[in-house]
Amino acid sequence: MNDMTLGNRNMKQKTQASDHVPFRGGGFLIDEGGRRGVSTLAIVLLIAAWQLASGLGLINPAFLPSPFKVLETLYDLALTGQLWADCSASLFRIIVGWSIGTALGLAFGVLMALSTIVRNVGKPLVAALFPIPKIAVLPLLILWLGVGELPKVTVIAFGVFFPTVISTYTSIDNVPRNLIRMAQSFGVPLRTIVRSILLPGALPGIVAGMRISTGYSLTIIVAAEMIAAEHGIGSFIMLAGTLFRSDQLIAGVVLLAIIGLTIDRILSVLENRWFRWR
Amino acid sequence: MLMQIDIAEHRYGSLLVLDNVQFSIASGEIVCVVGPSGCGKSTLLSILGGLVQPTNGSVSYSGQSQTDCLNDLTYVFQDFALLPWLTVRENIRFVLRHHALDPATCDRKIDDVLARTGLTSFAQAFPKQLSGGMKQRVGIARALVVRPQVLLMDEPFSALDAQTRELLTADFLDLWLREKITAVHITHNLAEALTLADRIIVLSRRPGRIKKIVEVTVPKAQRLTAEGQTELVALREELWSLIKDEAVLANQEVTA
Ligand SMILES: Nc1ncnc2c1ncn2[C@@H]1O[C@H](COP(=O)(O)OP(=O)(O)OP(=O)(O)O)[C@@H](O)[C@H]1O
Ligand SMILES: [Mg+2]
Repeated sequence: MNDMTLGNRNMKQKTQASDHVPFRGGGFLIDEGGRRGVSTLAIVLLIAAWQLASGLGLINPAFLPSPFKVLETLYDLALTGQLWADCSASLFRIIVGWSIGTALGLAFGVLMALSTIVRNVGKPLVAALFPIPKIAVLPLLILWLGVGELPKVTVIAFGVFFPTVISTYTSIDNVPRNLIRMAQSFGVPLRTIVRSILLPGALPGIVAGMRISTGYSLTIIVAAEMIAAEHGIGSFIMLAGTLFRSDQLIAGVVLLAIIGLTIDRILSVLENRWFRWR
Repeated sequence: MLMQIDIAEHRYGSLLVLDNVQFSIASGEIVCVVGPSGCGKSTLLSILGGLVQPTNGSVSYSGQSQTDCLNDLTYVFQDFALLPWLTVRENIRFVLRHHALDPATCDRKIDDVLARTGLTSFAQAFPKQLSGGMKQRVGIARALVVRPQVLLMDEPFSALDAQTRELLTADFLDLWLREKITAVHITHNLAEALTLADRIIVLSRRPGRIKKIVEVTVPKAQRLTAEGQTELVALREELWSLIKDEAVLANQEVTA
């Protein structure tokens, strides 16, 4: 507890340190609670500066409209119902695709960690397929699966699958071996070792992987919707671009940032609830 | 004899680690094993508990099946091996879960060992909130809760500071005086061995061979009192001379 106060203290005792050991132990503490005020303030200041610059005419509104203009645009879009239509289309694809990709990735990652055969087969396969930009397979998926929701959901699932496999099996790999030996020495059955040691031990790494895979799915869906979709944030941004509507372009980007931030908050809440022991 | 150890040899690949190690363990006895680092003490203990198979040899165990013994050969680990996401209580419950005990019995057993190891007020703490000494108390409580026939302890106190180590050694001696636990106790610390052991097995440097088995005849109740000290000091001299040669030779091999 003492560390918390030290961590927050200002570090500026550099000059008059002749007879006094300077404090240099600050930082590296995980206390998001104490810093939240600062991060909100930083964002507010940035937006205020942007608004000020726009108001003073320092920024050409055709390139970068003011925050108020963007807000107004978002409000109008919400009134017409287009905002909801596009957001819900994208969110639906992300939720379904991410869930499928995560479930399959978790299952395969666990198998890879537990079975040498699956690992030997899976490792080179994952290494080969993981770096492929997933959007490159979308046309192929459309060819196979038609133009509906299926290829978009599939491409997200596909993109989420590989990072999930990797984070799952490396996290399981990193669970200390001595815990497993301990359980074996007490005659704990394998089933329980997997469920009660490997999985909880790997969970922090798996959730960290989820941060990455949710970011991935956002990237993939926007790209996919730019290529082929009537609705969705990606197609909305694409359309705004062809119409030179910079306010709508910014609104789309802001929307994506809000979605990303929401996902991050949800994961943080889960982390705080699950990883009290860390 | 409760256990009969007969290891002709044990190798990791081509590396001979244990060579002709034979001894027995009687019920209620504490056997300490000392020897230079790397001589195969941990390997020996892993073989005793069935975690490692000897390349050539066998370990026989003939405990009478006691009804409340859930795990005959039970380890206490040097690094505690506590599950960090479980509280003290849950960590102890973890090794009971697969035994299909009814919850009331389970709770009673856990309360009992918590009291015996002085952990009652820490039952809801997570391992990270405990000092090293407290963590090892949990390790010992978890081992006791299954009512083992033999405790296998691999340098259980070596991760602790000197004072805590002495306190836990004294506590363990107390526990033995009350319950006559059988234990194999590996240690680098001669004082610890002389406080606890009925017999001290001195291993040579790798490959570990039994160099000598030293009997400690001072009654356990006198180990920490004035009466026993003259004899213990003499034994200490003997042990140290045995180990010193080996340690020096082992060190020369490393530096050569
Ligand atoms: N799983 C293993 N595979 C290969 N070699 C091993 C393995 N475990 C131990 N060894 C080797 O066997 C020898 C004995 O190791 P062991 O851990 O039993 O020694 P120790 O007496 O417990 O040492 P310390 O006092 O340092 O704990 C060492 O040289 C070690 O490098
Ligand atoms: Mg060892």
